Amino acid sequence: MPEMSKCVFTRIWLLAVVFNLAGCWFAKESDIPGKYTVTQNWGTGHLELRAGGTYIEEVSTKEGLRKTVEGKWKFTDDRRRLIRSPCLNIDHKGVHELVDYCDQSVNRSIGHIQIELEPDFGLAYLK
Amino acid sequence: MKVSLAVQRRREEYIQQGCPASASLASSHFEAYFDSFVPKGLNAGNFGVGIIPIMNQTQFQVGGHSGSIKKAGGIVNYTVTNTAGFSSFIGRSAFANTFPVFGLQANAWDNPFGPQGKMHNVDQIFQWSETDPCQK
Repeated sequence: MPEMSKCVFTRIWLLAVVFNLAGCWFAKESDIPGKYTVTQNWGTGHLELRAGGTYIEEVSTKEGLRKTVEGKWKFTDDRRRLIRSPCLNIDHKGVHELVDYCDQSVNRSIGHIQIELEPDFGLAYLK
Repeated sequence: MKVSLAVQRRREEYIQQGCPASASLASSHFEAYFDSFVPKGLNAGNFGVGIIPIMNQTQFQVGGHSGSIKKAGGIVNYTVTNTAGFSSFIGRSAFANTFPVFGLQANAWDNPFGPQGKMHNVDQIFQWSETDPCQK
């Protein structure tokens, strides 16, 4: 890649990073309770985090598979993470096995709270 | 990746949870970039990204990632999976969720010149193991 193109490309990319970070910041514990939804090609997921520290997650796929999980959640101030146990392993390909717990980043954006599931595919529970 | 702050935080949580059989090992782009810029031990609060230099260049390249922690036979296996794609690189996969009102598809810019063309997706996997830290 010519030197000039490299420089322009780097600047565009740095601007994109700054722009993204400017619209996003860590969430607070009081932001967390509520109803979240994720929609993907494989189906939808609904997550309700209750104020008392319990949650219910319901996932349904287009093939008719339905899974419901109930458990507990806690929030940690260390980089604002949500710990849910147990938890369904979800990615852009679908719904996988139940794991003992999930440790997920929670971010605020303008008007939304997002629980990150698979960042490279923009997959997140949104409220 | 083994020494990235995001991974270390999740390892500490894994130990606090009593080293169960399985857990997720995911981190957001925001957390990864924030960590990459901010020196370890400095808690900059809710806002603000530290000043260059980048502290962990591997973590910075990988950014947000997925992954798992699995225990079998007294050995804990850590796996970090990452798709290095153009949408992620340019920030679109994060932007789509940061501003969902625009209805953007997060990965619309992946493989801009086809799956084998320039800037095509590259799947990265980082794996390492250790003896069950709860048994040490």
